Amino acid sequence: MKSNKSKGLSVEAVVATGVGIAIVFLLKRFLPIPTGVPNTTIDLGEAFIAFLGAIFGPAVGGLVAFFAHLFNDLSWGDPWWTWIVADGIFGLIIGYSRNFLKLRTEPLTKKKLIQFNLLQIAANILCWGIIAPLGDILVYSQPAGKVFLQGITATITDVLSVGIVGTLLISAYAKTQIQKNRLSKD
Amino acid sequence: MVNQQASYDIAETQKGRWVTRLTGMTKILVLLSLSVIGMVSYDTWYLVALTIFAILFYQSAHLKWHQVRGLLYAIAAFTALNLILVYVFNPNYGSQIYGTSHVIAGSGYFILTWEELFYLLNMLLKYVFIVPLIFAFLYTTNPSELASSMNRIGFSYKISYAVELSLRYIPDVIRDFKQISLAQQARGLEMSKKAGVWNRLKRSTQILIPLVFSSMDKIEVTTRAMKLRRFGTQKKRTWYMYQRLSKLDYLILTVTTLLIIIGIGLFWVDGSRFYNPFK
Repeated sequence: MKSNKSKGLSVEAVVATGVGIAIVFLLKRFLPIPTGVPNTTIDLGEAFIAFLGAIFGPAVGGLVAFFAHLFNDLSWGDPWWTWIVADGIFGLIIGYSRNFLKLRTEPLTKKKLIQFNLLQIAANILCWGIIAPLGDILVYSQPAGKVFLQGITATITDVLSVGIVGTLLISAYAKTQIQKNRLSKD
Repeated sequence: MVNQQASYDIAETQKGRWVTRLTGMTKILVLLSLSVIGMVSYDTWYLVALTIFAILFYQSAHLKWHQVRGLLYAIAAFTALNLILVYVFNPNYGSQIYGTSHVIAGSGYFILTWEELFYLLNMLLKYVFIVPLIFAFLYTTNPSELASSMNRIGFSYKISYAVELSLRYIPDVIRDFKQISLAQQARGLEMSKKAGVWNRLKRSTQILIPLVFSSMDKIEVTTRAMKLRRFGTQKKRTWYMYQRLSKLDYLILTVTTLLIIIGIGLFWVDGSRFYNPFK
């Protein structure tokens, strides 16, 4: 998809961001899967953020993650900025998977899926295991034990969510794309 | 579940209230700046002042109890759980911050000090001070105004438009989600809450995949429509919902600015982000 002459987001990126925020908000708000550990849920929104990032790139991934998290927090009446920013950074990083996945032009291979999962694990550890808890300690002055417990749980559930559901979504999407070398002359 | 009304129209009871008459830009600025300064500051009196300021907005919105009840219970449960976690993980944290230790009861690890209680009170204020403000704004703001306001405070118009699009699509997406979920149930998908984590994950994927593909279609169709209308070819755009700032807006913005300045000034007065009554 070539962007037109004007700078900034392409029209498609704008629409993908809009629809993406709506869906991620829905998933975060109404479809959390309880894990059995109190106050922790598997957030399918993160899987969808990773999927959108893999197709539309870092800008869309980051914006969707940031605003969807913000809207979700606002709908609960309490914006928690450190986690909102951490989510935005996660969306941004996972968006770079577009560069090697190339879902729209090249077939999906196992190697690419492994690369994608390595990237998502690294991004999750960085955002939920380091940035979010450090932010809570520095900005909100919360005790380290508590925020790292929350951070580590979030890391694990999000790695699961993106690793299972996100990977499934990407493979399902890749099957619907028409690859360049599918057609051959007899 | 809250806030699922099909349209975003402002209810009759909220029309004509001063908080409804504020422009979206004022509301965004107030919300952003207060939540950021409230996040940083640990001055108890200041947080109390912010709470009172937020309650003024809530009063003006004249919300019905049944509109906010569910959310309030959820917030209460969430806050209580967080405060308990904060206490359990480090009961001594208050003393570490304030530098003194006035014991009320207990000894050893689960010692209860006035400092810890005071710290938890501050934590509580930080969790709840913005809630009345957000409730008031949720029910009195016309979302169509949001993009225009975001653009005015400095977001690029494309990002503003994307955020507005998302509000436009939330009801659609919720409807799609319900339809897909009903269709899958008709095909025998187990939806009870008894299922284990793995089964729930599997069945939500069965709902998620159709939802993803219908939304990819939506993105394509809308992109084409917007390209046909030459969206994004210019550097600026105008907004149908643009509103001029009124005297009321200037008043609220001035008060907010003063509050922010006071909040920053208190860092010097207190010597740190914390107000310390134990010195």
